[in-house]
This record gives sequence, structure tokens and C-alpha cells, in this order.
Amino acid sequence: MGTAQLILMQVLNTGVIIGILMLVTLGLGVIYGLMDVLNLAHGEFLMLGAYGVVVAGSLGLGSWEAMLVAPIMTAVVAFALEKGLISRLYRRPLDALLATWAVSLMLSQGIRLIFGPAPQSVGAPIQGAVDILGLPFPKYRLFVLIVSVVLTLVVLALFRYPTFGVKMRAVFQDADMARCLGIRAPRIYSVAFVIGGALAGFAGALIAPLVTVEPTMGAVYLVRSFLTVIVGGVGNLIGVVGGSAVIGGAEGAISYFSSGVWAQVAVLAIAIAIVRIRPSGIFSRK
Amino acid sequence: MKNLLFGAAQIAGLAVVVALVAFGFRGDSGVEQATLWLILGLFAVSVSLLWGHAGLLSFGQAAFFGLGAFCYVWATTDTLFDAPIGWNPGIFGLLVSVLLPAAVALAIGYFLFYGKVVGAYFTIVTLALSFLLSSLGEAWTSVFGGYTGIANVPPLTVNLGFTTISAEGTWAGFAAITVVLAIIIALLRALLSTPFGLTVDGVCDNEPRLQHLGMSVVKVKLVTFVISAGIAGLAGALFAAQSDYVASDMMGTVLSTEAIIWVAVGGRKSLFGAVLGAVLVRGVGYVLSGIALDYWTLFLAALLLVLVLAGRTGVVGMARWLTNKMRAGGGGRAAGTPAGEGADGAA
Repeated sequence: MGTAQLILMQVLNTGVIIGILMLVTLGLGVIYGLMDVLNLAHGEFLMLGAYGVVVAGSLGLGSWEAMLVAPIMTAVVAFALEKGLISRLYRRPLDALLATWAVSLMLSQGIRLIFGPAPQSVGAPIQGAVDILGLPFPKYRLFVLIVSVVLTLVVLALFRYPTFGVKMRAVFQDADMARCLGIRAPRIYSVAFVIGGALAGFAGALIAPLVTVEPTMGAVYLVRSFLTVIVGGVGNLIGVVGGSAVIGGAEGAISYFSSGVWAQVAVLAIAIAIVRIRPSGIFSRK
Repeated sequence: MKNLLFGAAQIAGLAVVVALVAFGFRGDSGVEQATLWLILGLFAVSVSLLWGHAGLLSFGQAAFFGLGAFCYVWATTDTLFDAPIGWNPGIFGLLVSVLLPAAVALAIGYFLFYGKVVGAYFTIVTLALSFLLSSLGEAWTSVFGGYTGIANVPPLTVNLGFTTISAEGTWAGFAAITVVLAIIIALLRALLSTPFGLTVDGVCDNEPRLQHLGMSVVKVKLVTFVISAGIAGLAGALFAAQSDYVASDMMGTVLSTEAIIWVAVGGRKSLFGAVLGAVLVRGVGYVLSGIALDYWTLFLAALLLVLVLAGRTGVVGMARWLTNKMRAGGGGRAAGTPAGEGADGAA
């Protein structure tokens, strides 16, 4: 394999990381921007999505059906969490942090008690490799890359064009004024939270065949997507996409030279440095 | 002076109760657990200073605690260097365990606070720090001992000329830790009652007003963060010296969370409450450990959730509220709240 092919391989794999990161971070960023709630249980949605595939598989569903069932499961969990807990903590950011962190620990420990600490194995629904410029690349990874990019575009369009999106952005900009105009903000919050949960769950289902599915897998993605939000800023959704590209790209590039953990530590350092230079994110308009 | 005596009496009283309980359960071998609880109490004090007084919620305080523990290990064993360092590696280790975490906090705090990172962002950056440091520790076996950790950490010994005190598993060591704890709490209370200390509490209460008054809020936060990291590091080193085993999960997010829970249980503004919270939660955990170790994290998380939803006055706050109510007949804060809590302010 030549150098050019190695680099291409790295670029494609980094693209997969960025794609997944976009799906996870979209929900996190929107929820934070809308309700000032940084949901520390967001990584657990991804973990639940991956376990959703495991459960659906053990119930006899095929890989494709499992992939659709998993986000529905996490959406239900997200709905229950929003109604039962988050709705009491709007505009109390620190309490929300503590409460969602407690939920996160309970979910991962609960899954650990049910399934045990050992990793679960999930088979990919598509086997084989496809040739890209003479480079054999797993078909399933390519599928993940394409699906995550398309889905991100769909979500961005959903937030932009239909009435729901317009209302949501109105609440985003000025919740009090939006409510004066008759927009039911709590309902917008619920829907946004459920969409975010479903997206993270779907991301978990997508990557389940590519990574080790274990109870603690959410933490890595939680940290990554928080760094993305910090770097990208929360004022605009484009920041989420740009931040994902910066964080995922940096991690992919650095992990080419050293081990994964060092790449993550380096990315944390980069994010902290960026905060000093651009406190409201690289992609903010301020 | 009266306040100082009351504070010392609080700690001494708690230490006696802890010692009696530990002795009752395990006899003389209970001393190690009792000492570890007090050390974790010191760790909790650092969280109370940062969260309760400066209003900075850190989910990564264990990063400094664990780093301090590893500083002690690096100074006293041949893990990092060829031989133990200095005339008394243990004391040298304690010194480094304060300085290195404080330096790390200074570097990170400089970027965060001068970058106007506030509230939730600070919390998640510290969470990321703690998570990544413990992952790094697991991966970097030659320095952090990897998954298995580092065992046989030498105890802290002090040669007084006529006798040598070993701080591991002895009642003398327990007494020494009690004294250290009392001194640090007294120093912090003194600090918090200086003009600087009042601005620390002011950051939590009304940050914009402090800024309008022309004070450098950033500097106050940075100094508090550094002091807090130094104390956490010292607690970590003492823990390592006492437990003779150190692993990278001592830098991890679960311990960071537990420290938050201790402080929430104790009442976050009360330094003594933080110690009390640590001892209570760890004590309950110790009693329950035979029954349901697997459910412990689940229980802690549920406890945190309940504490958040119920409001966070903690046991010390509730006790104070009760005494006030009885004394003043419901007339709010009585003038003579327990003297030693003067610097801590009411809950």
C-alpha cells in the first residue's frame, strides 16, 4: 500500500469519525442552545443505541430493522428523561449538569448490571469492501460516512425550513419573545430533546459494528462532542458541523502518528487553547 | 481565636467518632480505613472551596487528587526515576504533590478563565480532563502502571530523632492526619475571612457586581482553583502513602463525582460538612460493601439525583436550619449561629 493510499484511508476513516460526531453533537448543541441544559447523559443515548441493536438482534430482528428500532428506543428514553427530569431544570444549568450526570451514571451502571461489563459483538449488515482508487475500503464504513452526512443535512434542513424549524430558531434566539408570540416553548424543547436523543441513538446503532460495544462507551463520545460544542460554538448549527470537522479531523490526523489516547489528550489541549483565543467558538459571528 | 478552637474541636470530635466506629467494627485494623476516610475528607474540602465558595463546579477534581497520588509514587519509588528522591522521599513527594497539580490547574485555569469560560463549560472541560487523564493512565503503563496500577507504595515516615513515626496503619498516623486536616481547614477559614476570601464568596453570589466594583474576578477564580488543586493533590499523596496502592482510576470521573456527592451531602459551603459528607458516604459504603458492591455506583448516582432535586443544603445546613429555627422561633438566621461557621457563612 503506497503513502497516498494510506493517507486516503486515514482521510476516509477520519470522515467516519466526523460524521458520527456530527450526529451526536447536533442533538447536544441544539439542546444546550435552546434550554441551557448541557446533557451529560447524551453519550449514554449513543451507548443505548448500540445496545438497542444488540437487544433487537437477540429478539430475532435483522440488522437493518435493528438499526431502525434502536433510535426509537433511545427516543422513548429521551422523552421520559425530558418529561420526568429535564423539564424541571430549565435555566438551572449547574443543577441540570449534576442531574444529567447522575442519570448518565445510572444508565451505564444499569446496562452493566443487565448485560455485564464484557463487550458485545455486533455484525455489520453489509459485508465486503469497495475499491476506491485501488484501495479496498469496507463497504459498511462508506455506508456510515454517507448516511451520517446525508442525515446531518436533513436535520439542518429540518431546523431551517419547516414551521417547526422556524419556531425552534425563534425560541433559540429569544425564548420569552417567542412565547409572547404564542409559540409553545416547552413543546419545542421536548421535540428537540427527543430528536437529539434519537440522533445519538442512531449514531450508536451505526457505529455498533465498528467499535467495542460496552457500558462505558458513551463517555468518549460525550467528551468529544463537548469539545466540539466548545470549539464550534452553540450560536449556530454550522458551528456544530465545523466543530466536528476540527475535532474529528484533529483526532484522526494525530492518531495517525500516535495512539488514540494521546490524540484525545492533544485534542483537549487544542480545544482549551481555542477557548482562550475565540471564547465563543471559531464559527461564531461575534 | 474562639472560631479556631471551635473548628479544631469539630474536627477532633469527628475524628474521635470515626476512630471509635472503625475500632468497633474492625479493632486495630480499622485504623487504615478511618485514616483513608479523613484523607478523602481533605479531598472533599478542596471541592467545597471551589464549588461551594467560588461557585466553580468541577467534575475533574479527582484529576488533581490522582495526580498528587502519582507524584508521591514517582518520588518514593523507582517507577519514573531510578531511585527515590531526596533525604526523605515521602516529604518530597508531598511537596511535589501540592506543586504539580497546582501548576496544572494554573495552566488550565489561565486559558479557561481568561477565555471567559463560565459555568457549564468549566465543568465539562474539567470532566474531559479527568476522563482523559485516567484513560492516559490506563494506556501509559510505564508511568501510571496501566490497568493494574502500582502497588507497594512506601508509607510516609518521619524521623523525629527520638522516635520514627510511620503514617501507615497506625493510630499515630491517624492523629497526624487529623491535625493536618484541622490545620488546613483553619487556614482556609482564615483565608476566607480576609478581603480576598470575601471576594471568593462574592464570585459565587454575584459575579457581575464584583466586576462593576472593579475587581479582577478572573484572578480570584484562578487563585481559588490553584489552591483547591494543591489541596486535592496533597490529599491524593496522603492517600497513596496510606493505602500503598495507586491506580489511574484515582484520576477518573467516578471519584470526581463521588467528591461532589460528599460535598452535596455535607452542604457545599461548609468545609467541615465536606469532611462529614466524605466520612458518612464512605462509611455507609464500607458497611454496605459486603451486600451490594455492584449497586454502589447506582446508589451514589441516585443519591446525587435526589440531592439535586431536593436542593443542596446538606446535613450541616439542615442542622443549622433546625437550630436557628429552635433558637429564633423561625425568625430566620439568628445572630449567634455556631461560632466556628462564621467564615463559612450560612447555607
